[in-house]
Amino acid sequence: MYRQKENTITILISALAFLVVAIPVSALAHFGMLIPDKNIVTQENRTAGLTLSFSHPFAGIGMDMAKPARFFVDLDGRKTDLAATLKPATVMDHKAWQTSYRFKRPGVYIFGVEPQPYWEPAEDTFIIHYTKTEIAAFGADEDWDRPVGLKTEIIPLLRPFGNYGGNAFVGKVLMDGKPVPGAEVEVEFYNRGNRLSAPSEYHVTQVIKADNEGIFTFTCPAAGWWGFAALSEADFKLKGPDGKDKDVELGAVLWIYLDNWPTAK
Amino acid sequence: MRTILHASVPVHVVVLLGALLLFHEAAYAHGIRVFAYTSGPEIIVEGKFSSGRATINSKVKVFSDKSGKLLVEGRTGKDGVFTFARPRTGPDEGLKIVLVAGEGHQAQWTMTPEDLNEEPMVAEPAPAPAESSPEQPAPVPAAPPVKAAGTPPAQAIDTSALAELVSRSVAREIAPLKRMMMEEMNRGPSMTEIIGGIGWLVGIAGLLAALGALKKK
Repeated sequence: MYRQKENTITILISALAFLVVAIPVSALAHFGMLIPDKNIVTQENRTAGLTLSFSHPFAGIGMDMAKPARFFVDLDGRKTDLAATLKPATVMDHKAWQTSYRFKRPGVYIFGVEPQPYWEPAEDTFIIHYTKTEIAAFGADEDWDRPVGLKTEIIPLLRPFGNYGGNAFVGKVLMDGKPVPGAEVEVEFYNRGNRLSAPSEYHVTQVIKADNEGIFTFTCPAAGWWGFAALSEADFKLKGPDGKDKDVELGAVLWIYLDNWPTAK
Repeated sequence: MRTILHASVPVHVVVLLGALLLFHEAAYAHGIRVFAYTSGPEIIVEGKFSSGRATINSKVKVFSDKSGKLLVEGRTGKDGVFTFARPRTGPDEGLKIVLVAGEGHQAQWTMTPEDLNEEPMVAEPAPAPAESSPEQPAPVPAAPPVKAAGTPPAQAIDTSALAELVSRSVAREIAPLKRMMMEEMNRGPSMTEIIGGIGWLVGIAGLLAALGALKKK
């Protein structure tokens, strides 16, 4: 039989060890974030701010984001470089970026970020999350499912604006322009202000696998910003801080906004 | 004669199909959009249905958004476009452009004083090849010098700026054509084609029936 004191200490040490192992920050899902202050632009207010960051959207923990390698807006297949308009910002107490964009003509604008590779020591891997979001301006809704030519990207099959919390999002994962059968997609809600707590660690990042055509469907239970990140291993390596070749995780990330179902007038 | 009529499609079905054909186009006219922009000394107004089709021969009215006075009136052409000479406006005066199409569908677009005093073709940044261009786009109507309203647009434009203007113009003109081509490629058989196909089958059936009747004799 155990003595009372030893028992307590064993329990305490086990609990501590468990805590240390159970919720290491690195196990939280990294998400490239590209969040505009609205995804529908009307004539009354023709400018939208956009915030770029690399964070854990639900846990509300941020990481420093270096100035992106590329940041552009695609309209009708024409891309405009916006990297020069980026100003430093702070998101979740870490380095992030922001800009303001004025919409002049109707269209479905697709914004895209290619960040600099992020070195994650806990996983001994670089991470590159190609991140997109779409903004519909002045009533246009054509070609919202066009690819923008990123190394890997998610093509929305549900028109990504004008939707409600509770709608099912359908998307197709592409790598080098071709569908990725069985792609694994992480889904996370942007828990702004960190007001919500998940019932377990599993609930923080949900996971869905695409079918043989690279298509997945996920029903978003609530209104707000939702991020979908299709992850894959790059077919190339990058030199780590120790000079050795390191794996590279590529992410195709798409952010969509779901509105609340309207209340009766 | 009566025997043949009985063998083919009943009259009321034909009338219904005919009606469907007539209203096929109207079925898409749920909403319309209008957009206007400056192009040198002119303003170009583009009208579209929410299906993407142009609003043909539709009335356009241009009002001052300051005084409410009607300044220009006209109709869009076959391409849904109406072009007019830019009226003189005060520094804080914009234009409200109203488009009326189909069964009383109406849409409007407000050109702010900023829109009017800025030359969008020049301020809009360069297309695809210049991805790494350091040119600043909106909101700062930056880099290229914006010509003041009174300056005649036909001033000395250097060749490269002209080439840029041309390529952007072409891209903009071609974009709707490209879209039309894509829509055509994606569209399935039209009502007309389906009914035509059915008509062929009915005709062939009739012929075979007639031949069968002849053989029996």
